[in-house]
Amino acid sequence: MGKRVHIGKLVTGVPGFDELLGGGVPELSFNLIAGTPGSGKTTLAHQIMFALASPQRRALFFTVLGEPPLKMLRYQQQFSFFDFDKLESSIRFVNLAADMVDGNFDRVIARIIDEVQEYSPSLVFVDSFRSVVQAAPGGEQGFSDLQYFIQQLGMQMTSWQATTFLIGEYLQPDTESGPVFTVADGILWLSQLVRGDSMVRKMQVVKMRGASQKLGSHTFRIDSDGVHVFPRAMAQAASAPPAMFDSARLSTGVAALDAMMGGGVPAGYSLLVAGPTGSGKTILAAEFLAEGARRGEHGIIAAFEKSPNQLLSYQLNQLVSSGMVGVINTRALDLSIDEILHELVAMIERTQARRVVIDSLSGFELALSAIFRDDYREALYRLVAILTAKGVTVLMTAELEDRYDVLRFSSHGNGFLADAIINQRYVEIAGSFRRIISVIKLRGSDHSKEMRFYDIVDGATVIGEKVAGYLGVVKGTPQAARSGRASRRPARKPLRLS
Amino acid sequence: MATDEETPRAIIERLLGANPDGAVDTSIDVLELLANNLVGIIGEQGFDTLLFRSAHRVNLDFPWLMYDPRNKPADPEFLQLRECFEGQPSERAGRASTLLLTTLVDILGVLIGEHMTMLIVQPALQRASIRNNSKEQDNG
Repeated sequence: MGKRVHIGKLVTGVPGFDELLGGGVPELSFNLIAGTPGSGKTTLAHQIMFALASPQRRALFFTVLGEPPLKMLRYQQQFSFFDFDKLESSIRFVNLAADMVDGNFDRVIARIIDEVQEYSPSLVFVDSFRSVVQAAPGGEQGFSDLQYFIQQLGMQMTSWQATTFLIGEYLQPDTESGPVFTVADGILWLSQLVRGDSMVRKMQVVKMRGASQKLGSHTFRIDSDGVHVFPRAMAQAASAPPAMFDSARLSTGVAALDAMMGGGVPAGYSLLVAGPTGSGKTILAAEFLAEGARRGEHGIIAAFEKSPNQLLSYQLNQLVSSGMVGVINTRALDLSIDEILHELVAMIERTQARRVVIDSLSGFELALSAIFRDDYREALYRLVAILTAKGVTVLMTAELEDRYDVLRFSSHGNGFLADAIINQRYVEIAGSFRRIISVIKLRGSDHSKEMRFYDIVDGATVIGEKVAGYLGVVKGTPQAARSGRASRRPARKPLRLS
Repeated sequence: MATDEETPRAIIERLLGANPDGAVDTSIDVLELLANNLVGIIGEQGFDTLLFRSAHRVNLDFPWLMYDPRNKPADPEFLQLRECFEGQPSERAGRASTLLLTTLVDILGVLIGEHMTMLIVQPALQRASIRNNSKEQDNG
């Protein structure tokens, strides 16, 4: 038998929240839920309460000053977690406003203890605790009284084996100090970041004694089901080093392209298909998913450029209707990469998907809240790393700027993210646009160095002959090579590679 | 006895209608029980505000009922309210007191929904029904 006390965890079931706390709320902990007005503190507190409360684990919710209790009941019952049955059996609301007269802490603590003795709760909530603090008389004596009150409250609640949550309005974690911050075992900080028209909610576990919490700020949403947290996912080290040359290959759905790639895309790779508008990136992405479906492999598409109703081809719509391809909702306002990643991972685990398409990276960036665009590359790196670590093969499309005289392989330097890059571009030959495809990169594998003409025929990619007999193809306006001697013109502009 | 299907309004009308001559006494009794339940949840100030709002509505039909519990010394037995009914014919007093209580629960229903209102007031109304039945048995 171990010598250390076991600190149990209360699993709240609030999506993503328990993961932030390293498994759940430590039992008997004394916690502060703090943040600016409107940040979701009361909603989170209620959601935790309704999730945990039972006849064997009753909850006392003390209201003080702040939101009128009737208003609180009116709005909180709009959430799906609000369980009326628990109000009868497991939850009691008590108002302490009258006991707060003159900031008499002795009276408040006496009332709280009376109620706790009578009801024997395992969960205690006080909302708003800030109003208790503000009622304290000023000066050193007032501060001392407050300090004593908080210590007494913490001690009493622990003695009565209650896990406690104090809810309070505070502005910034680093500017706040006070006895409650010292005494509290756990501090949860909720905030709203605004940039332009965009607002993003963030949660930070500033402190949690007895738990290994996830550090940093994490995005969350509030909808009709309550709070949903999207913890910032970090790429986990693989338990076993990945095979350098995995023999498993996935067909792209275009046989000639598979041949150019030495047999297809190695499983678990990230593949970037880059090209200008109309080059057929989305069509290739659909063929990739369709090929998977033909082989019984589930796929997922996160389409940022078209709504699900406008999605691509009849073929892809059929795949979605059949259930072989899942669609990630990309229409929510102020998206975060972590939110998309959580949805992707959840759908991958649910469907055992092997193929994921992100169409396109440019659209993805625009769909994000402005707040997340600053670290877009870093977040994208995490997303790709996590998905491929799950053994999923990811195809991402990227739109290249329509500059036919500039050879670019990827947008915004995202090429480093991908294990493989397919480049599509237009060239002008004899007054007509021709499409050209090439495999730029395929880590750890031989691949064709050829450029090949291709076309879109009846919604399918058809790869044709090798581009031969031309010089300067990469400049966008190739010239026919004369036999025996190259025909050259002086370069009009220096070739810039990116 | 209150049944599960009865609304708070129906229970109140039944209780006060059972003994028209004693309607004021019954209404004060019910109000005390409701106050015990509601003050615990919404505080004294919250309850007084609700009660004043209800009295204000009743005053439109019964101008002699002028009652404002706000910012006054505690009056747990509602003596000040009882004084408003003194001198009124029992039938009129009964109608006013019924309107006072039904308005109170109606306002609660609008604010927090009928289901939540029922959960909160039902224990008080059940106790009132039991007391009422006991009185009737004693008198009978």
